Amino acid sequence: MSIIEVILKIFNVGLTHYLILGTILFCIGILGLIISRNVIRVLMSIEILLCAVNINFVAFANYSDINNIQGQVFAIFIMAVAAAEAALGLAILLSLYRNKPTVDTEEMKELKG
Amino acid sequence: MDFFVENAGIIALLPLWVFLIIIFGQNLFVYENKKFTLWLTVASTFTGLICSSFILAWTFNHTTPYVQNFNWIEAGNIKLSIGIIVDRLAAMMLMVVTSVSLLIQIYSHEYMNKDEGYHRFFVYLNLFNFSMLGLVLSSNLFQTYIFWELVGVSSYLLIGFWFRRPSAAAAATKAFIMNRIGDCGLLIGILMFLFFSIGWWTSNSDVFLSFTSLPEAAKYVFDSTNPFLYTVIALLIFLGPVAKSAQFPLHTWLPDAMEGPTPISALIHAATMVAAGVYLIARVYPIFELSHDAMTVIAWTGAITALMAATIAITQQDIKKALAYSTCSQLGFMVMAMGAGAYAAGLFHLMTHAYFKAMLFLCSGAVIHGLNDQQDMKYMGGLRKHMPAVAYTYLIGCLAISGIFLSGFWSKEEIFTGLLEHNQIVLLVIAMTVAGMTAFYMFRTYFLTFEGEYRGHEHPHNASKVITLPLIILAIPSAIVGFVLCGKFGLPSFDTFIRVTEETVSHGESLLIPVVSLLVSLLGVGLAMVLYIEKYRNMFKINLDNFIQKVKPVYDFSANLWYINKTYYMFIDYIVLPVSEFMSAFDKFIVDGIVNLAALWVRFCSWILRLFQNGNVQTYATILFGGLMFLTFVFTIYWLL
Amino acid sequence: MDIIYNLFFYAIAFVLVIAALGVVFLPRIVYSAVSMILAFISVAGIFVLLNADFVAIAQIIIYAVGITIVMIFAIMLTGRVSEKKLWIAFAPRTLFAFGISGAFFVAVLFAVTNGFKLLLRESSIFSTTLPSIEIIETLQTEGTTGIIGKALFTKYVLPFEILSLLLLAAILGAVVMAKKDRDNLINPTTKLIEED
Repeated sequence: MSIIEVILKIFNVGLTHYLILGTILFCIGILGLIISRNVIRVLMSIEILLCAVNINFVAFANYSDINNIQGQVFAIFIMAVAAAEAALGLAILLSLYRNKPTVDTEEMKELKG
Repeated sequence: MDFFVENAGIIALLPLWVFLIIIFGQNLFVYENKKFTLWLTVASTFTGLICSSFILAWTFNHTTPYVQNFNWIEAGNIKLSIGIIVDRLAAMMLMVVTSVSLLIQIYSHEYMNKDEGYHRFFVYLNLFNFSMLGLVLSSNLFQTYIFWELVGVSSYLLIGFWFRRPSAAAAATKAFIMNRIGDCGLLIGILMFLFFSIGWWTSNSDVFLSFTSLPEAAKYVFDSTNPFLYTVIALLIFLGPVAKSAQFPLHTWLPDAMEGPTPISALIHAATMVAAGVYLIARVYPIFELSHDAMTVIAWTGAITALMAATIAITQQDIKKALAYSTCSQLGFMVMAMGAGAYAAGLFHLMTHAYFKAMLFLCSGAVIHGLNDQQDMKYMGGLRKHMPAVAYTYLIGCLAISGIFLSGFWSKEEIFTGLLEHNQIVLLVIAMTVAGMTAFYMFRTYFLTFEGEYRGHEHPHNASKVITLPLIILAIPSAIVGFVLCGKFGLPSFDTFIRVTEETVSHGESLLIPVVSLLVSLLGVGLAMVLYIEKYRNMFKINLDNFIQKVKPVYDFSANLWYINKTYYMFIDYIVLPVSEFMSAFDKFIVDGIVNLAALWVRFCSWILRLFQNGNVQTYATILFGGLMFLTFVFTIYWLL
Repeated sequence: MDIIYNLFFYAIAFVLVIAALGVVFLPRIVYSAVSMILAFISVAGIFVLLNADFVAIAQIIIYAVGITIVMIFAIMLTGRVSEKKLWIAFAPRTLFAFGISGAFFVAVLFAVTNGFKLLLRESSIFSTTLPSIEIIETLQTEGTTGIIGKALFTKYVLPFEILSLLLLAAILGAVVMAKKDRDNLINPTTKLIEED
């Protein structure tokens, strides 16, 4: 097996590639969740995390459960929850902003014990 | 009459009830009236006295004791109960305690009237009455132990009644610590006894450690253990009475306890509580009886105490201290009689002693009260003219304790006879000597206080009727209880009354013992007369100071209390304190050091952890995902490798 | 060995990763929002590649439109604050975050490739066979909507209904939280009454 064949084989898309894509997305989501100073960006990162999970679900549905595609049903559920979470996140953000007119996470330290 | 016997617990519970009424009534400012406190107390004790007399009458024609028990604790195969026992011993003690304490309560009303702690005094007095009567009525050893401790507590409270005086506080602490040593031994003894007899109690499903089955249980223990261990158990139990009845090694608290008010000295430290030790010996007599060694130790402890205390009492200048050592000595007599086997004689002496010693203390209290708290006999003398009633009752008490025809004569004669019967000749000689010394030092106090010229500065004023009335009432049993109960004049004998067992004691009706004891006592009285009455002193041309100079080593030995206190203090200073200081240093630097090191470590960890708790939610998210990462690693490695 | 499929996958994946990184690292929050739309649309493309047409459409409707609008509302409502300085927090946790996400990626990569060996094979450990051509064809002609709908109303009917309750609760909760305090509401009226 020549080296080119090996490379081609590696790059031939399968379930693994989708899982790796999901993992990359998940890691970016974690990164954004932790390092952002803007609360809105934190909310966006959470959405990206949920998208990463959705990719995993749909990929598994495609590769191992093509007849029932239950993974896709779960993806739908997750989207609904994500929508609810986004709405609540906005509401929390607004009430927070009303108490303290800032979106800087570095200034939200009232939980300090 | 059965009613009183079945409800004998009331006698003990009434003072408790009064105790609660006074303590709450006073602290909640419900009333301020001293009369109310007095009448409540006196009424409860008087009811107790009436009940006790009925109970005493009941016991005349009932030989089997009345026992009533309630289950208290059941743990595993140990069943503890709480209850009452009414037999002749208990009836006699009830009678003594209630009658003496009734009179002393009346006396205290006058004595403590000016004191700001009047109500507190009666609170403690009722607490003491409750515990003492509960101790007398206890049906088993555990209950006895509980009341034993309660008695100790009330004694502690009453010795330290004037707690602002440092000496009183120190005396109270000393009494408490001394008693703790004894109580510790008693508890260990009881537990060891229970440990070795637990099989017997469970198989007989009796009330545990009840006095009615004590003889069989003691026999069981004696048969199942080796004699040495049994003696150890018996001596550990005896350690309780040693402390409570102020016997030789642990007696030093009793003279110090005279820091308390004089009625307390009369009630607790002369008549009742210190007799509780003798009472306990009588109660657990079946245990001691089986071990010959233990009996010997008991008898000799009593003899040493009697002799030592008598010699110390000779040189005491403080009237209360002299009486305290005399109490010590008389308690030694009782314990010696018990140990020698003269069970009934010991108890007889306990009873007569309770009356005349209470009276003597009350007389000294009247004198002290009349001289505005002067206790030193150097500043007394000639008081017979100022307070005749007190003087004559004191004289009756002296005659009684010295054994000259009044009650002490009969009880001491019983003891001497008992010692002779059990062939304890050495003990008999010691007892005779002590009897002579008793007569000497008692009449010494009498002559120094009431005869001769008055040497003080305060004007003595006579005692009021409330004070003299109890003295006169107490003088009657002090004088007559001896020959009423000696069984020689057609009256019921105390000896046969108290002996519940059928064994008959035959008295050798020889005149030798009474005559010799009487002679010894009279010799003591004569010596006291010669030395302490100026008229006779001049007649024999004796200079007291020169006489003391001649016997200086002996005198110093006695005046310094046989150096026992000093030895104890030296022991504490040179052995106990260094050891405890070493322990303290060990605790402070090594044990605490380890603990502090652990705490420091925790502090360090928490300092690290506290860095994470900075209030930023994203930091918490970091930690969360860190944990997730860790778990992912763990599961990946576990799953793939 | 479908070259076009592979090319599409890599292109979309590339755009997706770049857009996601943009969400995190673009300095202005509005740029981030636009980048997020791009990311969501790319995810929809990935779903199309995975034969999930219904989910892809739902993704665009819910994420790329709904949630993005919510985010842009959030940006507008808090817009007064200067945005430039709110980029990345320079705190110890930033370093940790890089470490953790990198390590997490390595760990998951190690896991899904069965210790990097499975990259050489055609598929992962979860499925050794590709989906059969016939089924894919039926899915591509008929769509997945029917299957999902059937599943939602038969097997998953209870979670589905509970989800509706959850959404209702979320709406109510959002209203309650976002609404101004009662005092602030009452005060104007009381002022009015006082003025009268």
